[in-house]
Amino acid sequence: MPASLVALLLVALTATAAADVFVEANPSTAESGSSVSIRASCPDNTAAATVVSPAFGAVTVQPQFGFLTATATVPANRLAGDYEVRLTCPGGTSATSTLHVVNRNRPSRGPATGLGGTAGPDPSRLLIVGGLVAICLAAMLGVMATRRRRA
Amino acid sequence: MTVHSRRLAGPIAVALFLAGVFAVGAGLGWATGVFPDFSRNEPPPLAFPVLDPSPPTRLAIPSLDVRVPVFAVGLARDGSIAAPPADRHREAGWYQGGPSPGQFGPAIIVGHVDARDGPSIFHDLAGIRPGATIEVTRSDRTVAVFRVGSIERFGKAALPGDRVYGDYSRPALRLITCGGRWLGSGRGYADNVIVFADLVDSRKA
Repeated sequence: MPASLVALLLVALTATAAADVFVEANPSTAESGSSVSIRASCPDNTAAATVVSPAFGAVTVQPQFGFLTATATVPANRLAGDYEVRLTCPGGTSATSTLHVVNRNRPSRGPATGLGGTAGPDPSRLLIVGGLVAICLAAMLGVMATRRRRA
Repeated sequence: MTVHSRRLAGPIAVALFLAGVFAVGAGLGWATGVFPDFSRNEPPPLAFPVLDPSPPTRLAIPSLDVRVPVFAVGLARDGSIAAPPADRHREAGWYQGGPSPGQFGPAIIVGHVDARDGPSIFHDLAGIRPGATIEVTRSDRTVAVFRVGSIERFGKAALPGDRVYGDYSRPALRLITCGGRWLGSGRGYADNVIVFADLVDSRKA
């Protein structure tokens, strides 16, 4: 009986330990050529560990604020796709997550999203010309009114 | 001039003057694209979900009564994001080279403001309000819920690339259509209207 209890306890302990072992990239989607922050956790977060991914190679995560952290750079020529990120702790336990890489793209021109069916004449010119005409009329009217009054 | 009309001349002159100043201001504002900037900036959410990649299938903007299918588009010959072809102008195009809606980064969805024979799906897009909801249904049957932050207009050759395409700090959405002056059938519209929105929630379809 005590033996099975100990076994149960051990299973529970390893389960919690496994839950504490993780690795994540932030952002989890990154452009090729950009940097991502790696945050990881091992059973013992006072010793450095290794994170390996085909997206950025191998980096060493160092203890910081109770976690293991590092910054990794995805090379500009890395192809778009999903890449595994694998943490290996000093004790041999490991965890994985996924980093999504997308191609860096900055189209210099905006998309052609109109075919012109509702394009009327440009109202700005009409507004400016009409407004100036109205101001001139107002000035003339004002001048006329004051002259008549004086006469 | 009668005494009566003379008494009216002053107020009419003042009213004409004010109307003229207003019209000139509105015309200059329209020509320089100042107006859309008046409705700016709902701050981005502090907390947000992050979804796995999955292509979008439908787009809904309840406040504009827009409900349209979405299909994947690539790049056009001039390097810009391809707009849906004329015979599919009632659908929106998701740029498949970028993130899908719900992933970190800006998902780009483009749609036509008009077709050759009248308005199209994004005709009223410039009138969307900051804080409005945009819902994108994805092929994994999750709905990504976005909230509009700002609506802005840029010259087609002067899009702020890093803001539109390069912000990977959170899951976001960019709805892009055309606006500004019509330059003729060969050149299209002068500007792009862009709605900047951020992911705030997700649920099962």
